[in-house]
Amino acid sequence: MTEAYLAELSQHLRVGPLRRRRILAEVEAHLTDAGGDEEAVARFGTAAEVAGRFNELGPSPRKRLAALAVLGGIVFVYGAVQGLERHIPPAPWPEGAAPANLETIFTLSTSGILIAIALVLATLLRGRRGDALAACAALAATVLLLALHALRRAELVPGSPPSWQLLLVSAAALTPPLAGAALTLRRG
Amino acid sequence: MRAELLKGHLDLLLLSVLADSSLHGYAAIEELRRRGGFELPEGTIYPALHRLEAGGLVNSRWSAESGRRRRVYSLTRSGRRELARRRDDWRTFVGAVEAVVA
Repeated sequence: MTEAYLAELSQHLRVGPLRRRRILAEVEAHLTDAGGDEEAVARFGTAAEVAGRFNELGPSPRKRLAALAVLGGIVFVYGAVQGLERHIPPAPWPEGAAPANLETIFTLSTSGILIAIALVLATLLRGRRGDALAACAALAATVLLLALHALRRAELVPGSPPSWQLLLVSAAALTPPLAGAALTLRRG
Repeated sequence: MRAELLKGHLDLLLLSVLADSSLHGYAAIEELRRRGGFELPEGTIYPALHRLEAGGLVNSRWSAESGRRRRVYSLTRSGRRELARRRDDWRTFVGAVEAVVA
């Protein structure tokens, strides 16, 4: 009885493989607890109805929008970094002024972007608020790190663009993750 | 109690039963039945729990008891704040209805 019900439920589910496995495992545990008979299945509801309720639970439009904002932010950051690389005079840094932690900055910013991308995908697949907020936080932290580095570099390397321009680009790069976080946290 | 009376209140009821202890779905249904005599289509509980989890109000983990795996749900900190807010709303609503109906 339970096996047939689970097979029918699986047919009606329109969710990813991980969620499908979890849902089927939870329903199986429930039906076993409830006796596993016809009455237990009837009390649970038809497979089509139950699957329909799960199918409606994709990411909310606001979380999806927040995830897309973070993706847009990542593209913007990539473009900004490429653009700045062309406009800020290249190394060599002035004697003794090169930051010792250039490798760390590169590793942290690359990791931040990769983590943000992974969390965006998780948001789109699982629809969890925590994933969306973490994606926004990862991108915002990366932007802040890169902005501080760009400001320091511009200050030390003669011929760099003025700080206000870098601040403007940084503020623009911070807008998508902040807007995404606000969207995710908004009630209602 | 009729299932249609539950419409719109299921989230509050689930948050309330999870406030005292972590429960798996079947235990949450048993608790609703024990406390309020609620008889509801049991398949409505799991999508509701998943929705609360997606909203960050509950979290869940697999737990193995006597060789059986069950997904156990607990309130998060924001779930507790939300429960307090919804309880206040509910008391205000009940008071207002009572004032009219009584």
